[in-house]
Amino acid sequence: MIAWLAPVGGLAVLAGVPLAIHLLSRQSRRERPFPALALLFRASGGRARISALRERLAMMARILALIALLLAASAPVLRTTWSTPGAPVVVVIDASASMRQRVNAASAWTAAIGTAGRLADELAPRPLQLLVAGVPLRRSAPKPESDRGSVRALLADAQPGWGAGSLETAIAAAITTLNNRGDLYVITDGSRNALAGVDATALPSGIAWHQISVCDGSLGNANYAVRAIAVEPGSGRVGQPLNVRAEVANFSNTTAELTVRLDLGGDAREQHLSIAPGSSASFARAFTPTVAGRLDLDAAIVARDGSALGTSDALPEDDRRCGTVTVVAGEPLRLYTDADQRDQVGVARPLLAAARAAGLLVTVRPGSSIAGDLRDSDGSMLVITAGLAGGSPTTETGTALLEHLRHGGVWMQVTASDADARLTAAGIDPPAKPGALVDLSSKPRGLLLGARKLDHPLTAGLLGREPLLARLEAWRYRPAPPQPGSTVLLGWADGSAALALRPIGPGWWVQLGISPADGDTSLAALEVLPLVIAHLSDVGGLRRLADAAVPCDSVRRAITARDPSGKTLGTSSETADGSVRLDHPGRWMLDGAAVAVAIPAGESDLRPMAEVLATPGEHSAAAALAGLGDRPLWPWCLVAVAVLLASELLLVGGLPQRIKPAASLRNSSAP
Amino acid sequence: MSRRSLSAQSQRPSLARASFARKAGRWLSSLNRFSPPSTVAASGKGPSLMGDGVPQRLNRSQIPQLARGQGLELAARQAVDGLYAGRHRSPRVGSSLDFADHRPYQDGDELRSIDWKAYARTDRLMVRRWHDDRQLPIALLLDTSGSMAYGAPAKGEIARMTAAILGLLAFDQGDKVRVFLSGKVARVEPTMPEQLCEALCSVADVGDAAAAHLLDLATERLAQRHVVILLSDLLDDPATLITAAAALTARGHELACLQILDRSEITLPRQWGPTRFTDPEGRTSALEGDANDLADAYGDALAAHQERLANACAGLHADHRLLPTDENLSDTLGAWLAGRMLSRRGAGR
Repeated sequence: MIAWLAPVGGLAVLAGVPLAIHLLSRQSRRERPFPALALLFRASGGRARISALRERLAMMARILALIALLLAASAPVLRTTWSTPGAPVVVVIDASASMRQRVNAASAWTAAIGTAGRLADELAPRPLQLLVAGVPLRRSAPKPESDRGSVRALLADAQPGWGAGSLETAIAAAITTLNNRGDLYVITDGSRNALAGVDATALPSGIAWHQISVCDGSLGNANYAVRAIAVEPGSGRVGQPLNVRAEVANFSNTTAELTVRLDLGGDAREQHLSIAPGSSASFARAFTPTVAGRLDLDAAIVARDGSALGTSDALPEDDRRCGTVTVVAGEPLRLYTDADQRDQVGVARPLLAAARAAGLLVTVRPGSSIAGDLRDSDGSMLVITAGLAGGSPTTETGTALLEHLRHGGVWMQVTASDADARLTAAGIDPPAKPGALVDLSSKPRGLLLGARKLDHPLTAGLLGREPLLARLEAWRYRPAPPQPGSTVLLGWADGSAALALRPIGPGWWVQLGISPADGDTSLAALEVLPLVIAHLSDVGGLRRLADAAVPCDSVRRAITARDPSGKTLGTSSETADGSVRLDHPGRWMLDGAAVAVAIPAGESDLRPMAEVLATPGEHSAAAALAGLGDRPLWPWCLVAVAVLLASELLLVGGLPQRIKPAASLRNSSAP
Repeated sequence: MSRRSLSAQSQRPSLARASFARKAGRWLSSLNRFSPPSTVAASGKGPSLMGDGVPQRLNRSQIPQLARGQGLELAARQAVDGLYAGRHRSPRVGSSLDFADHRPYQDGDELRSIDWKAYARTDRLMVRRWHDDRQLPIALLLDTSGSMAYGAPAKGEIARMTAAILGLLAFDQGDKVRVFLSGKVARVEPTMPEQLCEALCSVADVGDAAAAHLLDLATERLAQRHVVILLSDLLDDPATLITAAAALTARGHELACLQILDRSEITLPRQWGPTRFTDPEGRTSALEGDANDLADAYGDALAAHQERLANACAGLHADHRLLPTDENLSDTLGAWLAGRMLSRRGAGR
């Protein structure tokens, strides 16, 4: 029995009745012998052919109308789609951390797996490929295939990740696989950031986009999360207070009364926070470390409205967040220079002034002591080299700098002399050799700044000070191209780097491409240098809100690693390039250093996405499976029936014709 | 009819034509045979030749009597040159009762042919000469192709009936009748009316021989000057027809084309609607079309065809007469016969 897809289906019946009447009452073409056929041929001319063509068109219109009528009537049964029957299909499952959300017993990931399985069944025997958009991206087969065995195997084996996933990468791979022909089903949880960065409207025209949100708001999407842990100031020193702040967000539709526990090295305290829907609140504590070493920070939501969260939290995994800060006993900044500190126009004096203005405890050491001082560096201090003297740096110096960087240290290389320019960390690609000294002091105007990137923590102090930067001039400098892999934050107008940043392992190599001496630049005179050095400590790892925890899926170099459970990782956890994947949250130990790993903050926002990206209207899993996510044909079938019937009536009925009187035939007789 | 009255009528041709038409109509109606199609359809029987070859309910013996009584005859429009003496004017001078002219007496002329009254008036010996009346040789060309079986009543039935009437009329006038058929038996020369009817009864409307073929046959076979009456629908290629007719008339024959058409051939019925038209003689492929669409254009094409035929016949001094099968044959045929008689009298006497 046919269940009508919609009451509009009844219109199909109404349209069919006149069609049936017309067909039944239609006269059949009779065959008649006619002696004057030659005259009839002459009379018909092209008329007979036109008439025959019209008859055939009418017949085609009738047949198409009938087919369209049948298609419209049988849409619920046949599930007619726009897609080509043999076109390939790629199903992409979002495997980000937000797919772990659940309410009661339902899980977004379980729903996604079930939806993908049903799609695989319903779309048989069309060739299908399943992509699980985690890190790494997993495929059921190299290309779409009709055999569902590999699809089912991947569905049984796949697990959601803890990071942001790789939906963009997966969709790009799907587009490549489909080669501009086929259907792309993207299954996400429908949370706010599920399709961030994906522009479905930019798909090739031959690919039909089907977006399936398995949660569709039905799971409630209420979630509470510890979004970040912030530590200020950037470096911990024994005896100096640290301000630790845990930021807690409420991603539900109601105000939440949450109890938050903040544990600082075993000193745990709780606080009640009342958080409005969609906003966040902080639990801040001041803490003064008394011993040097690692300080573990843990923040957790322990209760809501005085009771355990239970099932009211859709994603419990983000209720806890950890962090680590290293408390050092020594000075946080060392300036290695051979320049005279008393020289009013030298290199050392502006740097010392800037460091002290930034509140840093500065120790000045000669350049020859770099190798000895940094050989056993734990990376906790900031290092600035400037105004070095002598010949080429020794190998020991480079090795010590590398060790410092490997432990997450920050090294600021100020290129004020030839020795400064030649200094490099061992084993690292040396920076391009600076050019010859350019002296513009005789010119009316020095070199001005060109490119600038002020949205970085290191240049955050310069944000909003554009007039200051516009007046920044250099009169004596060595043109230095940017290092490979570095990010140029400030660049001179001639293309050389003024301030660049390059990651070396967990550490950072900062390159200041100008001498800060008064005769060389206006860096110091315009207070630009203190603003940069003040934020030098923010470049490091666990020193700022945005970088309070390393997001999941980050990859670091191969080192001895232990996961948060204390298990030493084996080779199976290592990637092909020898690096270790930090694929779940917690406090990891990497070669003795602690790294806090957390779910990306964006994954905690489980509220439904604000707008549909590509296909407006219903795109829940139920709707997608009911019509396989395709646009239904039956309304168009009904339109086609109406059009075809009208054309058929025009073709068969024709236009009213003027009736001519019969030709009068005269008799003639011979005269 | 007396010569005076005929002479008087010849001075008033329109009145005479109307009078003869009425007489001919009355005569043929008295045969009680040629009913309009509606009557035929109601009776359930079409006109046919039955039994002894005499058309149904046609009393053969009445034809000469009635024709004689009404003064209707099958006349030649021009002088005939039959082998035997008859009642039709020939170009020769002979021994009929009609005075032709005088000529001077020559040695050897019979004395009884001298017009003494003229000698008394002119004092010269003049010899009286008389017209010579001969038989009228009639050739009936009967189209028996497959297309003649079309219609109700069939065109072939009407053609055979017309041939029978004209043949019997000729026999009654003592004229020689030859029948040319487009079928297997190409030529029949009946000496008695019964033979004529048997010959007409034995043919069927089959085959695809065109009317032009009959004309060619007559041109080839007829040595004497004949009145050739073609009974056909004349739906063949007009160029061929005209060529054949010209060849025939060039031999001195007098041609009369009696075109027999069904009403549906004259006016294509629109109510037929979508139809697949086929050729009953199978010469051309079928045509599919809507009669409603084709009716006007067909009427124009037929009018042009008829115009061409009429013009050609006029040029050949031949009659062209349309005999629709649904019209009263007594009217149409009687009018044609009367017209011929008037035409002969106006031109010949």
